[in-house]
Amino acid sequence: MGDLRPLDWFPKRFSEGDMDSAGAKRLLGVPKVSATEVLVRETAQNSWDARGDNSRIDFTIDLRSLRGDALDVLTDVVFADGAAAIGVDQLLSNEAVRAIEISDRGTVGLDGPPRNDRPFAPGESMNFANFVFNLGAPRDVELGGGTYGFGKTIAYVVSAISTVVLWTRCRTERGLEHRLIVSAMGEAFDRDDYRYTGRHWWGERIEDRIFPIVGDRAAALGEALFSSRFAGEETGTSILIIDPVLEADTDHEILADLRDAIRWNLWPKLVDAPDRDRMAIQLKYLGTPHPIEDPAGDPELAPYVDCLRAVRARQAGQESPGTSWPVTVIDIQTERSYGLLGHLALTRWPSPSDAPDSLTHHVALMRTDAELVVKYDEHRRLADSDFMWAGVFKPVRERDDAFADAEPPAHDDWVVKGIQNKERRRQVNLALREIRSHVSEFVSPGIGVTAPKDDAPSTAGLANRLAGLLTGLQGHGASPTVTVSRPPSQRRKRPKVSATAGTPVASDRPGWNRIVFAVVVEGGAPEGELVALTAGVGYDGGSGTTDVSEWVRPIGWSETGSTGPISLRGGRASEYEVEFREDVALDVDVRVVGAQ
Amino acid sequence: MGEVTTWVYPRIALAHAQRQVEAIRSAYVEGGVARVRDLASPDHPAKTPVETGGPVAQPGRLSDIRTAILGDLASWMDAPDPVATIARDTARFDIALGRSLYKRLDIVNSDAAHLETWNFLALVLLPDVTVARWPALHPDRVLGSPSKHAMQRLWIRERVLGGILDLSSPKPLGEDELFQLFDRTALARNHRLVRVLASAVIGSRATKRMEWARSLYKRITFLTGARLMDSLTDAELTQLVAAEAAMVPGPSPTPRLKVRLSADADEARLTEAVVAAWNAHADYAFVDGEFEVDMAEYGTAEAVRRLSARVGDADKHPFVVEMRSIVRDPVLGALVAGQ
Amino acid sequence: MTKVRVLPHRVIDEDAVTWGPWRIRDGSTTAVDPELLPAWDYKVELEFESSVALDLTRTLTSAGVDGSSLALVIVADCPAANVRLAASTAIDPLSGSAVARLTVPAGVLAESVRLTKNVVLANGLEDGAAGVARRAGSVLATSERSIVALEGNGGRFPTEAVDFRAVGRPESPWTIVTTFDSIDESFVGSVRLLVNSEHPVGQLTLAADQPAGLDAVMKADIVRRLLLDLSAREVDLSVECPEESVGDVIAGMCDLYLGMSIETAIKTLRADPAQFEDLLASSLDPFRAVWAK
Repeated sequence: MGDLRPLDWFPKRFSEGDMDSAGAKRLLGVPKVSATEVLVRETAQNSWDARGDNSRIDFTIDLRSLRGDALDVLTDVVFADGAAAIGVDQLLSNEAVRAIEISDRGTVGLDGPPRNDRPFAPGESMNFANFVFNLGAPRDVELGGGTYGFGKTIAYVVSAISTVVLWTRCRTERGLEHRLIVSAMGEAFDRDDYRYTGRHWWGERIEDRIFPIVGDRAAALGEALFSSRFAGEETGTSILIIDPVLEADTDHEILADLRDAIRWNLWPKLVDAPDRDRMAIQLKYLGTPHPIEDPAGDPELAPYVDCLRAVRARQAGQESPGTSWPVTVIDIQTERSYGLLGHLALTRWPSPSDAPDSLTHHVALMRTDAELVVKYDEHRRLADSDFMWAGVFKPVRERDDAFADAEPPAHDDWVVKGIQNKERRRQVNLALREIRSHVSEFVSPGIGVTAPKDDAPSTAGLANRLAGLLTGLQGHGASPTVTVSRPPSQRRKRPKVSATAGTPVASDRPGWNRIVFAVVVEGGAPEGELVALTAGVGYDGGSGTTDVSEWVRPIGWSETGSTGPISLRGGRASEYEVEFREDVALDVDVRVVGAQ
Repeated sequence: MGEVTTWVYPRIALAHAQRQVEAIRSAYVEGGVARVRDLASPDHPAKTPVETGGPVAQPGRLSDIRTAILGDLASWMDAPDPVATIARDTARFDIALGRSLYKRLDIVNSDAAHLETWNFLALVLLPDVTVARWPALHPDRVLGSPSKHAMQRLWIRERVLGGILDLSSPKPLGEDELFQLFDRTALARNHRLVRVLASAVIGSRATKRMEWARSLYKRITFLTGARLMDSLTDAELTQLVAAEAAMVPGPSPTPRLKVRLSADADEARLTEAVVAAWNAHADYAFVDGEFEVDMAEYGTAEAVRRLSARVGDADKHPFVVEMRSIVRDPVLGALVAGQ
Repeated sequence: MTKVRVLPHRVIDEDAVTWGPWRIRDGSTTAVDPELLPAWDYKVELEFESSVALDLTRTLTSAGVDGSSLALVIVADCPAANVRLAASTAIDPLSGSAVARLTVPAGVLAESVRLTKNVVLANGLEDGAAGVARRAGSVLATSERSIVALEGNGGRFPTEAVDFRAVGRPESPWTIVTTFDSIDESFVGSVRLLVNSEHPVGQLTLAADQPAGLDAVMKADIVRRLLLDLSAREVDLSVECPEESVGDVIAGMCDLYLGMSIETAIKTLRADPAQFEDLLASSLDPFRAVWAK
């Protein structure tokens, strides 16, 4: 057995600006979903975020029972000092203590300086300090899911004594290093004239600070307490949550809850794709692997898997993979403002006779890369009860930040109100709206999608009666036109000319008629007015006067024999003769063209 | 109930349409049709569809329609230079566009009557098609003159002339011929008459078909003063149009073959075969002028040679091909070759 | 200036022709010689009917034709919709009268339709006296042209009738559907009242006469639904709203029925829904019309 000296206890004293740890726990909000779900979601998210350059990580949740040697080590090595301050002494007097061990391998581990009081270089990892010493560090992992750091706190919330053991192996300038530290968030307390915040650590005290134990000492203690190991050059983190209190009481039920939480929230991580990083998820009970069903084979999740694959393909610019039931992928966008916001995939399938339909008629909302199910957003069922539907939505990479901003600390919803930035608030709002509207069309096809029947009744009368609501807005209803009466114009007394048609008679030319017009001028100059007559073909809607010699032949004034204008004195009738074909109408236009 | 069918579409008012035209113009100058394509949208914030009377096509459907129409017109719109490609082939493109619009829109006729509807369709949904076909973007065409919008006209033509407009015809009815037909008030709205007239024009073998068509339309228009065309049956209309068509003056519609049937049975058979082939295939060949071949004078063999020489595309012309098959006949062939 | 048209054949004396009025039927109502049809839209089928009575003796003397080969042709010409339709009936040779009916299906016409009645020669005649019409279709008498307006600029609330059950909607009598992202978008382009054509109350709203108060109930409901929509979606109200936009129209409604701005109306709706309902009820007062008169 390695070096198992007792750890140093380091309770935090109050100094200016400190918050007691109960307050710190409250700061991080109240999740909408069960603690089990938050635990699974958040720890998985953190592990995913910590994958660094690796394209595959392992994530394991092990429901354990600490007995015998392990309990002895806790009592004598870890909590040699300070056990009473967090109430672990009572716990350790039991035969067995339940614990949940959550490990990831292939991640970068809790690297970086094991202290939070020195400035850090940009780009330098602060994983250790952030997890162990800070609460709610800003989101610094690109497209990572953990925005408020809830995942760093849920472990404390779940542990009845708010205590976790952290064992990590990471890369440092000195090479691979084991680190182990125990951390607790207890109640504030007084001791020896000092007030303490309730934050405790057990590790190696150097001067005034607490550090993790490192190297072989850490490895030895880790192996004594944890069931997981670090093989070869593996890096990663294991946490041991002591005495977890969850919704369920018995091991059996807790295991079932953990399995369900993995199934409902982490299934996207179980859907592999060659070009995506992978997370191998395992659930263990007392060290023995407990099977997790492939979501593609799970009748309730398979449709979601199909939808996820379709969205992934679309976002990668690839062909959609084949699916059992058709999947529709819709671009969620706003033409005017922000362009493409994300993709929604919807699918529909016949209801199995015995189906639990708990998860149909929902859209699984998740972020671009994280792919953690944020929420199952409920919508209407299909009108046709013989079918069920489901969908998946993911924003595009460029818009992922806006949706990240919308997530409360528990990452279990997208809340528009929570977004500070006005542009991002609108984007998320519009996206959610578009999703609702597309789902609506998908669920009740008929409005704006397939053609409704032509025989729907007219709504014109109703529309007219409701026009008052529009306060004057014009539409297309037939309305009385206001006739503007023109004031009588000041007209000069002009000469009037009239033409009276005689009876047409057959002309010498076969197929032609001849007709004589009597033309009279009234008023006008005593010497006479110049009058012109134009003859043309009369047709429906007008007269043809050019190039009509085939149909109309003006003969002319009987007085002059010419067809041009002549001078006519008022009162006297002159005659004008025209020939026209007997299958057309004749139009004659007589006018005064000027004074003599 | 009949008719209705089925969708109404968004409309935009003139002011917005004018702004849209300017945007299209700038984009075209900047980057050609490809740049204009970026302006295409299935939605417009100031759209004002008719308030009642039908389901309004939503952006989803409008996107699908746009995709379908561009698919129908791919051979022009996907070319590297759509404007030039269309300019070489306008008559055919117009028929294809009209056909595509009619098939894909499924628009209520009453809605199609409104210029604002076409302003939306042509300038917002299909700005690239509009600029490719009418790159000058003249307001009369793309905003709708007092009478009709250019794209609307094409839809109307398809609606009225549907089956008569043949894309595969070597000389489909051109815009001018159709413009005159559809813009003569007295004729345009009598669809039965329009169909009869269009068929007559297509079936005519006039060498200068556009003038021929114009004369025919004019003649028929003139008849409407004395007679109500609406009251005539289809048969009466057809007869009327045929009678007037025969009277259209000008170059004879069919290049003339003067033929004398020989007493010799074989020779007569050859003559008949040649004449039949001529009637079937010669009208494509003569785009300018006409000529007369006196088969009686030259003798059939020589006539065949002269006729074959006169047609274009020499070897591949259907007339020549048929001549060759006649000549394979031992008796007729001997007549042509030997003599 | 004078224009004269002469037909190549003799025509019937004006005094010998008595034209009947235009009767236009749309579903249940018949209008006589109307200048406009206020409740016409693209879903309305129309039947045009008119008649003529000829003095046959004077017809013979003026036009040279007897009553045995005449027809009444009514023509409906619609330039906007590029459509011209006609129907003809033979004129009774004994009485000299005829009634013709033309049915125009829904969705064909637009803007306005021009109507004329004509008496024509029904069949071609082999021979005829000189100057007497002998070609089929020769026009012997034409009425004045009537113009009936079908569309104009009368205000209309965007409304559509749909079978709610068939499209999977909850079976309310009506609902409001909005598609705008921002209130500066056009109102008629992004707001639609859907009326459930299969719900008895929905059907009542579409019928020719309504029970008292129904319109007021609908109006109140429309105002309420629009404001609830704006409120729930937290639509940005600070946007500048051009005329005819969603913001402009809803502001008009708030002003007219509640006497307040949109912002205040929504605040009231959220903070004091009872007050909101009271204001709406008192300004539209539908229940008075229903029960108290």
